[in-house]
Amino acid sequence: MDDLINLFEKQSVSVYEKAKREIIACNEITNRYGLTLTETEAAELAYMRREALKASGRTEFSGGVLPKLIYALCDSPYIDKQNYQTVLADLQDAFYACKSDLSDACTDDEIIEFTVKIFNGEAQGSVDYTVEAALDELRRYAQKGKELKIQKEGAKAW
Amino acid sequence: MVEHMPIPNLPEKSGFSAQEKRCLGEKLMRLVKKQTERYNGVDSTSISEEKLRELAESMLYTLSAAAGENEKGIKSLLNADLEVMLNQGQNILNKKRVILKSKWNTLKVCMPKIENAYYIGTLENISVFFENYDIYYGAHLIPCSIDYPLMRPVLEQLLGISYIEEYIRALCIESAFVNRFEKNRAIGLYNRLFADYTETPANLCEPLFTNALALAVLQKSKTETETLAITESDIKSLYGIFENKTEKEIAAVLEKSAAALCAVFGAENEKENYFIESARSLSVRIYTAVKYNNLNNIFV
Repeated sequence: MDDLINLFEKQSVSVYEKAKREIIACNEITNRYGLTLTETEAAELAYMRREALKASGRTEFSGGVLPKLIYALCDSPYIDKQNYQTVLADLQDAFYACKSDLSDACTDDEIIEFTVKIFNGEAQGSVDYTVEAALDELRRYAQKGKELKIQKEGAKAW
Repeated sequence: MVEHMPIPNLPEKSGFSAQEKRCLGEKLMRLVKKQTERYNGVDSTSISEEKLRELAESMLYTLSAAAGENEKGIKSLLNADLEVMLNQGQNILNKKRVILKSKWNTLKVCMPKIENAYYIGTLENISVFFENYDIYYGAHLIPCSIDYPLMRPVLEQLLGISYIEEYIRALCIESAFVNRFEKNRAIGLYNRLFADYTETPANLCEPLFTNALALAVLQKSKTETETLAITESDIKSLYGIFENKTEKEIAAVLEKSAAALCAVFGAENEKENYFIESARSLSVRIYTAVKYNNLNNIFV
């Protein structure tokens, strides 16, 4: 099975290209908010995506979660041309770390929703604050979900 | 850039050429990607490496189930539509589950009326397997705990429902043997061996089989064998039979006696093989016991 994982890493070059293309395609929408990514910036983000996946022990066959993150953040009052790429890179890292930390207990959309809400709200654009607070809230949310599930199963058995 | 998947579970002598392995690897990889997308649904774009490994193992196990029913065997994977084969494999596993559950239900009714917590607990626990067995994403897993030890342990390499199938098969054979003997005689033997047989994680069939086998070696009658009683005089006779014999010669004596025992008790074919193999594996212990003069640790 380790051969399988190595193999998927080898084939990740084509996924990298796909990720880059998907990121560039987002410019069509984010242009309206004065935000665009150059080819180089998109390439760097795609590369960082690969590194973030490796660091968090995950694999992805599609282009990645960045397009979702981009669309969720593009109207944020705390993002501008200067910090756009950096914020995306940091929140992308945090996203995959979160997925692993929570053992996939939360969906992509849930993580993005919590992250963006905190980033635009109490964090006031601070990525560090966002990452810590979002993870705490998501853990509580996941735990609540688990308890509800156990309750439901218990009621069903009864 | 190479996009193929080395096939981790392919037997060494599969007969695949390097080119065939490569082609098969590419097909398998495409299928794993599809399985991952199905598993994740819309919830996630990524998957942990651990989960990916599990999905791949499950997929390979299911494909092997389908290949097993094809005359070409594992070679059928080369030209087949793997998605179709995966569905076929899932159907096969599902059918097995239904058949096995029925066997398990029968076993619960016919199980020996002997209060052993591990036997009873494990039999009940197998219900968890049927509830939780995931033929789609965890076909290779055994989602229940099996604490009761068999006289002949199931091979560790067996996966998923194959393991449970073999376990239930063996448990049925052993339980039928235990049921041959009066409950009090069996309990008498357990009490000589264990401080508390009700709470000991020990196999219930082995002590009865071992003593019955000894009586068969001594060519005792069916009635005498059913008593399970071995006297000091019997032990002396057994020494007389086993001493100066090699391990192989002891095994031959035991196998012949096991076959005779099975004939007396009407255990045929797979049941007979089970007990003959069990008898063979006793030869090492007997050989050593004869050397150190403690046969009465084996035949109680």
